Amino acid sequence: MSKQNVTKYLLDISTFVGFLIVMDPRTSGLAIHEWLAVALGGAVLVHLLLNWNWIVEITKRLFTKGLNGTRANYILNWLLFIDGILIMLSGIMISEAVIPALGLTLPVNMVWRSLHDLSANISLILMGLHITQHWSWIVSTTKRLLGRGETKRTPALAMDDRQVKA
Amino acid sequence: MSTLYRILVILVVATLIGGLIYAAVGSGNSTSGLPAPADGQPRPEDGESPEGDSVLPLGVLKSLVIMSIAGGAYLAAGKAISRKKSLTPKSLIPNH
Repeated sequence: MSKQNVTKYLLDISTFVGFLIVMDPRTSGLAIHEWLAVALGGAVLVHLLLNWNWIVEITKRLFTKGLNGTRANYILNWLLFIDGILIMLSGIMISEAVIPALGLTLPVNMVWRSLHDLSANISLILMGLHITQHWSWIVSTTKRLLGRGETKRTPALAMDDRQVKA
Repeated sequence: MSTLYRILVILVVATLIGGLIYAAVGSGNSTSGLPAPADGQPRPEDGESPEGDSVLPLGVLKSLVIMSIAGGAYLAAGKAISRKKSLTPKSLIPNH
């Protein structure tokens, strides 16, 4: 397995665990919730960079025939990206740890609080769909990393290898 | 260099989307004009405890359940659509 695939896999697993912790501020506390969310923003940026070739390739071929599944995946990823921005922005606007730590104060607007809750709930659904879309890749990569790898190449793995070569 | 360019593209797109959202929310004009609460104070609504008051990670379980349901529903819908597509008109005609 290529080094980039291992990096992708470890980053994605870490991001997912971080996402689960961030989604439970009652357990973690507000400070961890906010600072970890900032770190997750960086992780998402790296995730996008590692999948850049796929993004560019599908953007170019978005309207060609026979890409229904991929197109749905692409649209889903955009929705997840927009929802992530909404979560980050509304989180910044109601921040009680990160923004005060930077010496900034923002006006209170209760709409941001509602938007933060709503977008966080939507992100759970979108994340569930995102993981389902890539489930075969997750399972295959886990098996390969644990040394129980299949010799059979899944389309997702083949796509990843193309990305590495590109 | 290309990595920096890609980061810039992602940040510009994110800023544009964030700006649009900010403008849309700002146009609602429900700002109270009050400053944000001081560090450590609870949020005005049913805010989370600053320290974290739950021992059981129920939120994590809730998240996993919601994601599983969403994924399961997606898979079920996908299977139903593919089953519908695989049905040919002949198969719908009963044998006599």
